[in-house]
Amino acid sequence: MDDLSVDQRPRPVPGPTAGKAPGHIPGEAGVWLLLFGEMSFFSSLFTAFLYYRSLDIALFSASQAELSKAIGLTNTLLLLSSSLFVALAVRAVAQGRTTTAPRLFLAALACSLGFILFKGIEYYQLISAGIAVNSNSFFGFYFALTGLHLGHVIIGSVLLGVLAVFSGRPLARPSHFALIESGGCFWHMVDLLWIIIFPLLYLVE
Amino acid sequence: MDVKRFASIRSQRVLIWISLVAATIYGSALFGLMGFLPPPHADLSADQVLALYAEHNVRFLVGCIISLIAGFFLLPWSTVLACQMARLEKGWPIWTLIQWMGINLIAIFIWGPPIIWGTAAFSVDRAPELTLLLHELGFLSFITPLTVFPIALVAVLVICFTKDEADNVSAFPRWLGYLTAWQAVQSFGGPVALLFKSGIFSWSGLIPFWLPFLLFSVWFGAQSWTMLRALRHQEREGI
Amino acid sequence: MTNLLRDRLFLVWLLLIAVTLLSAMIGGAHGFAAAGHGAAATFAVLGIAFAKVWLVMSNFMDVRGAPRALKIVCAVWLLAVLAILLAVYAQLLPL
Repeated sequence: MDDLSVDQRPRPVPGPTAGKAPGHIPGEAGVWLLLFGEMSFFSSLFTAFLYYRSLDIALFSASQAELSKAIGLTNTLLLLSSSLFVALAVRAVAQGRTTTAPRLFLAALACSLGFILFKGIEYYQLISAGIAVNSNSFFGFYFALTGLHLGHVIIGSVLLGVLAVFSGRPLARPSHFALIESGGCFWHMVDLLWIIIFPLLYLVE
Repeated sequence: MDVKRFASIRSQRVLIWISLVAATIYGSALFGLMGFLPPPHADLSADQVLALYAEHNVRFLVGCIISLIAGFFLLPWSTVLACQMARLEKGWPIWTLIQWMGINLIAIFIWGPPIIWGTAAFSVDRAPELTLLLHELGFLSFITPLTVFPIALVAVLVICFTKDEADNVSAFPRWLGYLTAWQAVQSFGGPVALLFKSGIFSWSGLIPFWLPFLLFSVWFGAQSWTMLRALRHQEREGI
Repeated sequence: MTNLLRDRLFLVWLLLIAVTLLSAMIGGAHGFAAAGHGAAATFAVLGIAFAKVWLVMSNFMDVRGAPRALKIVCAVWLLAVLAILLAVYAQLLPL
């Protein structure tokens, strides 16, 4: 990161058409290794969840009723909005708007902090009701899935903070734009995992 | 691109191969002789666990001894990794040191558990609950310290994304950075084992055991391969 | 405001919000199909979820501007995961 001062080549920053050129890999090829790895990992958990559900449908339905659909829905809307802000922010970076981009990243960060807050409230409500990770296999999955996802949200939030700082400076080299775009893609992945977790845990009947 | 040579290329190459061979021996002892593949379920009763250690007692203890001999394998490896990182790192090699300490802390928990399992197998005529305790301590100290990985891997990430070197000859290409990031994130699955006694989240399950160890093997192999490739290049270029 | 309504990213976001609300009404304990139509509701809810994932991928992650290979990998991957999940849900796989 400290090589910004070393490398003072003129800014080869992608212009307003960045990402519009056909054949542009979002971020860079390597980040898709991480994204598909993570998505496959979570998909195996989703499959396992539905399999264990099929073994004891009554228990899973009864336990699902304990969850607050309102909180799950609110969190989905928060993450979708944060994804919009990140997409707008990456576009702003591509257009070289160094004042707008950090604000958009911070807006996304605010949404993700809201998500974490609501997740905390939901955990608190469940735990106060005497429900814990070892209550039954539904709640085992519930806490493990949402907990692992929450870990990704927290890592992603740190990333959003870093992106907010970096997007406020002119980019020194093209690889820095690739890193910002890759960071954005990681956040979208966090969003799209929740897009699947929400119906699985809260809506499947 | 003014890079200085830190250590002899031949020594680095030899050390990587020593690590790879030792890792193979360690894995064969642990998963073959000691029979921990697949790992025993985390919800076995004390008597079942005692039977596990009593059944092939001598073979198990020999496995412990071999894995204690070969369990050093991360040490030379992390040192060569540190050499390769330091030649690319700008300024005082602070990330290199973080990596070196982090991986070596993990190495303690790779090398250590066979002592605990060995102790469990040492006396098979004690109260079963005592053996159960050692058994659980052995597995949990083997699986949960995965959490140390991320801080060491962040250091590797920094080198991958800030180096001044072409990807196709570097020990730290950008794609390896993303693989490393994935390995770092997956490491958080390890401590989940503390919360579950059965199913995919227990220590014999998908999340704490199979995925992290599969991914570790891939990452370990990939990083070894890129280091050997980079060493060939450095030898050719005389740098 | 008219500018906003011409912005593809914003429109996609509106659509995502709308279908999220729709799927929340269809599924769950007090959903439209709570009585007797559980399976149909689940198929609908999961189908909507994967359509949303595709929208996020193609627009927010900009896969629509990516090389054809990446588009195909994303699409095949999504369809495969959806098919596996639905098959497991409907207990069609001999697991």
